[in-house]
Amino acid sequence: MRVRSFIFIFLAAVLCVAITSPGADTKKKPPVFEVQLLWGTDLAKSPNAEHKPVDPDVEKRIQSLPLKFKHYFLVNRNKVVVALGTEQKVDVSEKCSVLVKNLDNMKFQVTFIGKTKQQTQRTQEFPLQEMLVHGGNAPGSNAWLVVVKRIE
Amino acid sequence: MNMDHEKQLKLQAFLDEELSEAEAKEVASWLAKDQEATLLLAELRNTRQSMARFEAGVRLPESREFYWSKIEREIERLEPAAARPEPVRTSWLAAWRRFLVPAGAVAALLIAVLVTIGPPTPQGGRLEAESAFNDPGVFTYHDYDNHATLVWLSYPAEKDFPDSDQNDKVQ
Repeated sequence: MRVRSFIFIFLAAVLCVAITSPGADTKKKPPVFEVQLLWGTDLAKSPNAEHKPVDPDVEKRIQSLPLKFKHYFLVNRNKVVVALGTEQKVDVSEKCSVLVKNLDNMKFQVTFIGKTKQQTQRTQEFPLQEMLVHGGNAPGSNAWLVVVKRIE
Repeated sequence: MNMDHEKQLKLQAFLDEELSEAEAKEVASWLAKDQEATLLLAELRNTRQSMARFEAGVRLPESREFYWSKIEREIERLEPAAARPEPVRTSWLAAWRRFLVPAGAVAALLIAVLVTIGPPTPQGGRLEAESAFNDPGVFTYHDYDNHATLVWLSYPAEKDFPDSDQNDKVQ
């Protein structure tokens, strides 16, 4: 009797761990990434009316990075589903794009392409809400930023 | 017999020649006067002689060790079965239980720790490999607290992004 009840508790505990494990949900759905093009500037207000405010979470984390720009604006955003073993391309602008390759649902290879040439390639673990930012100087005192964020 | 026990023992000691010379003289004078004591001494002497003869006639048919081992075996055989401890019989279930209970307790403890602190999660954005193909001036910064990684390129944007011009204006 004691053994039987103990086995029951043990199995229940294993089930709880499996259900509450962060990896449990991510295994069901293919990972989803959002790719955002941001504009960094010292201007308080963007002269481009089409620019939108950056998500508070993204802005907060961008502000924690060692960048000198005071304000960031959202130029465009795209969502992409990257199933296991596949690679998806997201066009950020006419000459700039990002390739995201799903290696094992946790490890991803991100290739940044600028001027139609491959500029960098990076393989890293991408848990939920992880953010990879590529950036560079833009004419004037501005900057461009391409944010790759795992949202699902 | 009216003789007390002490006197009887004294006679026995006299017969066994265990008394001192003075005591022996005293007992001898007492025996000369007391007929009852003389009779008792004679009886004790006869008894001793009889026993001595009897013991001399006994011979074991086997060695002393073998004889005592037989006695020992007989005593063990006659011991009541209830007095002996019953050997403990353990079934396979009981044996498994002995293993399962501590193992299960350890497993439960591990699960409790896992549930409390959460399963090991990879450090945000842990780098496996990075390569810059056309930009030797690239640098990388990790903000582990905010789960953010910055890759800064010296790559000049120029007109790649249609939102800028040379005058800090956004088109």
